[in-house]
Amino acid sequence: MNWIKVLYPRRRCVSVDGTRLGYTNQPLLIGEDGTYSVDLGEPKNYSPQQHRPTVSGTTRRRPLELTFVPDWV
Amino acid sequence: MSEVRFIIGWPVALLLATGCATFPANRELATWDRNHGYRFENLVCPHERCDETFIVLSLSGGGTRAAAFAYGAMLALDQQEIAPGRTLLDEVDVISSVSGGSFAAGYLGVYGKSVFLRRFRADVLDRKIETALMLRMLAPWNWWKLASRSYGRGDLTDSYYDRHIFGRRTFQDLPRKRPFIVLNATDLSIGSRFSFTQDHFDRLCSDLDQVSVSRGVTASSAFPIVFSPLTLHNYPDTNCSYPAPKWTANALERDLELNPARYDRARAWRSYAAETRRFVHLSDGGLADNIGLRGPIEGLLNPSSSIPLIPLLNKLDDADNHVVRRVVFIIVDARPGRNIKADASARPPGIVSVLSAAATNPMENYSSDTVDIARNWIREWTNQFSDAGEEPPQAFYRIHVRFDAEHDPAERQRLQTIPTRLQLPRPQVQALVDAGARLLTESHDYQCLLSALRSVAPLGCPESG
Repeated sequence: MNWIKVLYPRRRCVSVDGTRLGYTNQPLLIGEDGTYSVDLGEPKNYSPQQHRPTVSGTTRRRPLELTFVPDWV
Repeated sequence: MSEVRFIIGWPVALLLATGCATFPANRELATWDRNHGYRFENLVCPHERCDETFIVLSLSGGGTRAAAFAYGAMLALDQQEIAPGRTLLDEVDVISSVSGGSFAAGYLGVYGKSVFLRRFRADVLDRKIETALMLRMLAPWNWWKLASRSYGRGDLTDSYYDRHIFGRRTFQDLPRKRPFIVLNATDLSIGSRFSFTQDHFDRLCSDLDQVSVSRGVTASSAFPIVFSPLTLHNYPDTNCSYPAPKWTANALERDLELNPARYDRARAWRSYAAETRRFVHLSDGGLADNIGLRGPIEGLLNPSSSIPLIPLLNKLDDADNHVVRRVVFIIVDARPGRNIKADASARPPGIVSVLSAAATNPMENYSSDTVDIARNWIREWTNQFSDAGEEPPQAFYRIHVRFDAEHDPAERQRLQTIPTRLQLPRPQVQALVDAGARLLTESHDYQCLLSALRSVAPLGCPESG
């Protein structure tokens, strides 16, 4: 059982492997150990366009943090 | 001259008849479309708060024993009203079934609740299915079909179920509302679970909507050797625009060492793209999972699963509250007792006993492991929130309905020794229906759920692993 937290200045949908998982800036259950493609969907006005972390050993208290920066920053 | 025609005509007619008999083909999918077909996200919620209590019902294998036990449990669910005009059976979101349990799941899906409650007993449980199938096997006009290389005993069985039980309905006829009916078979070549959902048929570039529901039930219950496997066409050359899921690419590229089980699932998923796999042969779902729980468990592990439990657990409403408040797994498990009769004698068991043990013991051991995976997942979930100093947003209930819970030793013994058959004497069917209802209702975890639904929280509830 693994958790991620996707950091972004605004609330946006988080997409994992093409499936909408939840919202930014809060711990999200992501599932078993493995490699996942994480992005914020459309519009693609952020960077990087995608994170592709291998997730293992995370907890709700210590989720893997992934940061997206908006293009307007 | 007419004698010559007669002598030549018969073999020709025989050849033609044999050549004509083939399994019903599943059609190609013209263009892949996520919004098309029988998949969870294309089913509507029957009411506004339908996700608040998310119920997964898994129905085990075990022939008519399993179907009757499942029916009893479903009757009890329907007797539990949770809101005016709404019962717990109406609240079930997913039914995942194998083998005998698939008769109940498929029938409910095809005919809806009211016909299921009224007619399932007469249409399925009291039907002399074995006798009917045997007569069809023995009928000379079916021998020609059975002599065909592409038509087997499984197909003959399918045609009987299609006509006499499932009314020739296809998956297109299943209502696009919950519960999501997941009939599980086993892909014989790779030993993996194969579900009759559009997600799984996408891999074949095939349209599930054109497939009869009976085919799903027959494949799910095609007990090895007794029934021949059922065949599906695979269309690996077809350009239906189906994109291989991202999770499979990630798993195949990077997860072999980290998570071999995920890697294996990805490899199995991608195996249908091989040009050499022109056909897929399906057998009893119990070979891959005899309690129908592996699919829902995969939903707890993989966010891209056909049963998307992870996105549901993360789902928030406009006020940032979790939408799902309770997750309920009801496992109706009709596994028989262990047969220790042979141990009364020094004589080694005969070939039939050995084959039977070889076919069923691994399934039953695997079933226990499957339930353990669910229990451990729930335990870890609870621990993770506790470690973070938070209250879990969802309560989990794991209700395992099985014969071992029967208090009366004689009745327990009676239930556990009912054989795996496709027809049973009516008193046995009645005993199983009664037991399914009684053992569910008496279950401590079920009572916990009912208390929670009435907003009363007794000690020891909910499930904490």
